[in-house]
Amino acid sequence: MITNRPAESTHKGIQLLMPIIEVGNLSKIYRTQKRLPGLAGAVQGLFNRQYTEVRAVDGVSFNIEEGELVGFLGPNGAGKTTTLKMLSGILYPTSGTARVMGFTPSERKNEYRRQFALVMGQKNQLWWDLPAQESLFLNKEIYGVSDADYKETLEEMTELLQVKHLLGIMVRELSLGERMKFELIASLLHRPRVLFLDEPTIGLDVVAQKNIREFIKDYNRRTKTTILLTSHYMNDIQALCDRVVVINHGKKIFDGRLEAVVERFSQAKLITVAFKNGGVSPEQLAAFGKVLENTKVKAVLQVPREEVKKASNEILSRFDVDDINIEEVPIEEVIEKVFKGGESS
Amino acid sequence: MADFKKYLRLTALMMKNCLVREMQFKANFLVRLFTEMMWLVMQFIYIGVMYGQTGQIAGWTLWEMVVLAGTNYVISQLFEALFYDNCMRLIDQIRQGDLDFNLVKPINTQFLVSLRYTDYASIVNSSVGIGVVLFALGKLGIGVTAGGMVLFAALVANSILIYYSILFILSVWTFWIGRSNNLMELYWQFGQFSRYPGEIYPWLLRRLLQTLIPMLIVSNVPAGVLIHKLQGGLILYGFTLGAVFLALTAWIWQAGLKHYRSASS
Amino acid sequence: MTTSISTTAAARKSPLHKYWVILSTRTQEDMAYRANYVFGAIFRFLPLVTMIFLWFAVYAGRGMAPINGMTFKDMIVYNTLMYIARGFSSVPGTMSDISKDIKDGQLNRYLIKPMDYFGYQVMYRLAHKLVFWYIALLTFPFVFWFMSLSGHYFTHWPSFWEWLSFIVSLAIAFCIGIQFCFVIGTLAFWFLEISTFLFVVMMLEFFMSGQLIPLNILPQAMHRVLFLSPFGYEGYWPCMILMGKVPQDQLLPVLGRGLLWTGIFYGIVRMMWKAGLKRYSAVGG
Repeated sequence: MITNRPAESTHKGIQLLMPIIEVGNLSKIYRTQKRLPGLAGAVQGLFNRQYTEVRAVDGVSFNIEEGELVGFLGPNGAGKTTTLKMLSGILYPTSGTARVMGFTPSERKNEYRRQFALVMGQKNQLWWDLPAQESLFLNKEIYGVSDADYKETLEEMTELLQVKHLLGIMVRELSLGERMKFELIASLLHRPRVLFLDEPTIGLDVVAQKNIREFIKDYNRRTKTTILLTSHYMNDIQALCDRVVVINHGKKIFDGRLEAVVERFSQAKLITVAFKNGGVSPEQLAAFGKVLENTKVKAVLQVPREEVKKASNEILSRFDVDDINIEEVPIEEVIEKVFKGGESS
Repeated sequence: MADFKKYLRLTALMMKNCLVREMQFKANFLVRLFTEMMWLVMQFIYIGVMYGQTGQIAGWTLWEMVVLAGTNYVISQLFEALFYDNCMRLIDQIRQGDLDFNLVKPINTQFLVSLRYTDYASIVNSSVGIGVVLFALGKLGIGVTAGGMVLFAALVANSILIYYSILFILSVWTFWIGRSNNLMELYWQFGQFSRYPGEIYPWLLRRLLQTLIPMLIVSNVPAGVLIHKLQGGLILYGFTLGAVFLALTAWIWQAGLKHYRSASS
Repeated sequence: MTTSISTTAAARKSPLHKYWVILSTRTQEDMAYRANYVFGAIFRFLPLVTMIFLWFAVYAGRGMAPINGMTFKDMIVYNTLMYIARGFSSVPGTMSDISKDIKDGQLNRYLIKPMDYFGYQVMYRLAHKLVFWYIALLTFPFVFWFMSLSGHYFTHWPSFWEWLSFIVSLAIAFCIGIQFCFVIGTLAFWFLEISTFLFVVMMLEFFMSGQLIPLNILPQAMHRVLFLSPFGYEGYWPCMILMGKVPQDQLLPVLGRGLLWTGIFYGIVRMMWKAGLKRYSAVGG
């Protein structure tokens, strides 16, 4: 059993009021060399270089409370991973502040590093040519985990993730999903208070994705570990996170409950109408909004939010309706649209 | 002290892991032994050809030269066993963004990246070098005292750290210049300077090789101790230099990390 | 989008155009890391420094008497020219890259493309060499200028035929050098782990090409054998030709043997490649 950690507030009263992660106006600007195309450009670059600035993260602020499981949502290159790396102390911020558990990550104090963990779906920390257990044991020693704790944690996690029988197998012979499970275990051996997960399910098959998702959810619930997760699979975010922070082009564009994303970014709702005796011509329906689907028995309309009530009343009165249903636009579509169009507001 | 013990234990653990890993590639291991031996033989052919033409080179007789070559071999092999691979890998790790996991561990990151891989073939080879040195000393009729042995061992360790410092600093440059594989070749080319007696070089170059690029300190001092061909001051100087270089690595490492980009591949 | 347009345009231009694209891409890759390159070019000459002083000490020990016709100055010129010769004959990374391609199944990537794998390799390496030669062109005059300034090392001005033979011998050096790499790299079809073997081969090449010691000052028996090997063409022969140490009437026979070796290597490469591919597809990459 993974025990709940006594709240940090016991020894410092003030901390009770403070969020566990505080990010204020955080920015990371990269300077990259401008390359002219072709060989001539390369030769020119040898002597005279020009640089462009890339604002990977641009003035992002948010707070996270202890025990929260927050999703970081954004398209590739939005700045999710860069933010996570700054919080892990891997990258130095160009400007702004980040504080995690009262530490400044870029100082990379050992006390800080003992209390968080980072899992990256695209990079691995396990030794390729050794059984996974050797890497786990090395981590145990690095983090100074006691033998008893190590044994207990290992036992429990390998049980939960169903990889106990694979401990002695060379890492290079494991499947991607199995490797990811061991990556998770390796990162959780020291029972971090804060866990950063960067695309933990990337490239995995559906079953493995689900396994890992369930494990994370369960782990957060039981241990109250604060988790910040990035993923570009909407399924991950939907299954795990109540709260999401959406960033695009390095800027935060939304922070709140997942469902609120729809209210915030979608100006329309969907009205589904089931007809009793045959359909209605598209021209008739077009008066209410965009017709997404229209058959003899059913039609789907996208109607501006503020006209939904009026439209539905009129549909009911004008046509021979069997059933009518009003829904939000699916969250994936909303998000996709937001990312495609940049900042929609 | 507890910290020191922990680091010692981690070093042992990583070395054990490498041994387990190496056991899977036994054939590879044997060939490595063979190749390194050939390298040594080739050096001796070179020395042999030269001494075939003259009785002494810059005041060094054949067997004195062999002591120097052997000592240099021991040092370079031990350096390569412990650090060379790690320095080379460091370049790629910096460039490809694979330092991430090292940076989040609650431990000295320089330690972690510097000692991760051990090359066992080179360790075995270094013992061949010791054999060569002992054989040449026998030919010269020089005995070694216990005190001389300890001093020699300490100087060898010091030389390895100087090598390490230089190579480490060169690899850390990757943070700034993006790629430094060619820079790493410097190891082999600097290495040339340490293979021969300092006496062959003109004054200015010799001083340069004793200070900024201390390749003569690395080999000539430990070998000089064995064959009593040394001014005493150089020993103390060598140790001081080692300490300064090592301190420099820590400083540059910290400075370099600020430029780490953590590219995701 | 842009790539597909440019490849079709390239295809229309000439069958060789794709190789040019490969070549220039690789050069750009190298140029992108400026400092790396500059350092590489400069420090290449460091071993020369040790070598000069070491040989000076050796010659001083014997009253500057020549060794088997090689004076101290000859020795220095030989070792300097060796940089040029090896600049043509050594193509670092070729052996290991080919063996890696074969082992990791990367070869499939090339096999499905309408081009010859070795043609691709030659272009790819040529690109690397091109930058090296370009930088050598900038640095070598200084080295030679410095050498003639500091002690008139060059005592022999090569004749027209010697210049011509030198240039031909450099072409032979490149052909033998790269084809030898192909032979060794292709061994990966049959042997799983050859990286260490590569090292042995490179060392032998280092010795047998005369890079370590001029072949003609080695013990008699050794140098007779080495005269017959193809490796002399990777270093020893070009140097000796330009230094006027090969008699006029021997120039043609020497070059002729070199060309013969080039042809033999070509045959071996093709044969091994054919047999290797058969095995490759049988095992299934």
